[in-house]
Amino acid sequence: MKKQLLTLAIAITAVVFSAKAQDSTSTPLEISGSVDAYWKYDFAKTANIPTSFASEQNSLSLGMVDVALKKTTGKASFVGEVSFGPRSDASLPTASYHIQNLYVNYAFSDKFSMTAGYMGTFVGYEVISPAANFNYSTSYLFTNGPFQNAGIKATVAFSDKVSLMAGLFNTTDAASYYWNGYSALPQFGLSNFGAQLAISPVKGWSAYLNLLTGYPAGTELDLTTSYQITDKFMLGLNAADYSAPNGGGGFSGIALYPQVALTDGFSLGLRGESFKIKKGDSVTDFTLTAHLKSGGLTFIPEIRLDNSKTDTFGFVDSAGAPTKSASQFSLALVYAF
Amino acid sequence: MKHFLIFILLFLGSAVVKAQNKTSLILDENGKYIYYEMVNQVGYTKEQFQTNALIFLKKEKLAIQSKSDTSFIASGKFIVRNSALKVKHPDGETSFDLTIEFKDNKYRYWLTNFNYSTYKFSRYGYYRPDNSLSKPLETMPSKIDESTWKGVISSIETSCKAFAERLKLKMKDSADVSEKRKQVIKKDW
Repeated sequence: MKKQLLTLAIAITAVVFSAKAQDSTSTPLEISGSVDAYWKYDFAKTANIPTSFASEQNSLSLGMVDVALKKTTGKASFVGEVSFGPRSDASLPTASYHIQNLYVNYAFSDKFSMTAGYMGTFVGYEVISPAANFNYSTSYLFTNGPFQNAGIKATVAFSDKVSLMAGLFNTTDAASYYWNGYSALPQFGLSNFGAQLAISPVKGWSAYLNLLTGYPAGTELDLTTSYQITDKFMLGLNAADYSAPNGGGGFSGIALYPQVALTDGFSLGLRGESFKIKKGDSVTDFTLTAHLKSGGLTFIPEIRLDNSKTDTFGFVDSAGAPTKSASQFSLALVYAF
Repeated sequence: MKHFLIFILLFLGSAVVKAQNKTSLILDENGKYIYYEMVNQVGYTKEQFQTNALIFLKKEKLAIQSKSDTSFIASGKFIVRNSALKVKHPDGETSFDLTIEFKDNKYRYWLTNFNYSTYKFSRYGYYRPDNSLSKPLETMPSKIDESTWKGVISSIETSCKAFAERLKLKMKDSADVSEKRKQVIKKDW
């Protein structure tokens, strides 16, 4: 607790003393976001694949409307992002708050900045916003990892190619898996520790090695990387291992994301994932996704096939009997602005 | 009616002349986009131009690649917003090289080697570089349609014009007047 108070005190003091050095650079208020809707058909005639979002069967259903504001004045900036709709509700620890991001950042220099507030998590490849993912459905690695973190973090850029982030984050309640929530349990405070080593070895290639650990949240180690090998071909990879405390299980998995731009407005992407629940079942899934773009609109047809090792994973067939496989087809519309 | 027609012709004529004097982002003899202008500024030495240019480059946070007594080469970047709306998020950024050459009473500058890279909506709630390879402005990236690309080039041209105005304003500074502030002397009136 003393260490946390000391960190906060140093951060606040540094902000106050460096305020005099503020320059007059400012940007206009930036507004961005997205809206999305989908139709999904599971071939078992019932919602079957237990990953996040887009769960309604044979229905033209809503995703969310997401609006983000950003403003920079001198060295200080803020981001506020709110969302509404079923995808929003499923992604937030308290749906009625509607807040995806709410934080302030202060850039002490070009090399060092600090951020405090509620932020999209730094862990993992996929994200909540459909405008920032290629596949419309989500992976098991995403679904089982953290979504957001509230806390304070510092980022140091050693060069254009290497930076390090370290932060202290709220340990929240069990319902938010001890790290997604808005507020900390008083007895734990900001006791989750997170760090990210970001490396960009060559132009177009970025890699992030992430760690999030604490009690009783557990420890997740995550590697997220993507390499734009040519103008038309990109390869992404996500690998993660999560261990709950006291031998309470966890998961591990790996996903590959090859994507190819075939024409100006048409791209294809595949996600191949292998996911294992420690001391439990495992599943392999393949998702083929197309992007047809016109201005801000992206039309996303997608087919997904999941196969589990045993029939106890939770998939059912059209008669409702346990089975080892599940498959679905979906059409989604995402408009990003 | 006759006076009205003469007024219209004079107005259009002056507009054409004005348009011809405007610098724009054009393709050079090698097919590369360039924003070029030569500025006559009588009464200034090349040393004054050099001092002013150095201050300008520092203020604009441009990285100096090479410098001599008569020229500077520096690199920088513009944030690209493909819209006239002030609240629009950035769509990407373009890097560029700036060359400034000085002589007594005149200088010239040009911006070229534009390389564009796109931004993407991020987990942190704003648009940021999406890890794609930057492409020369002369080549349309495969992820962007033609109308969007035209908007990108138009936005870069607007940035070039604003950048040029700031440069030209700074180059008008002279050591004699820039450091002095006007003083009110009450006894002499």
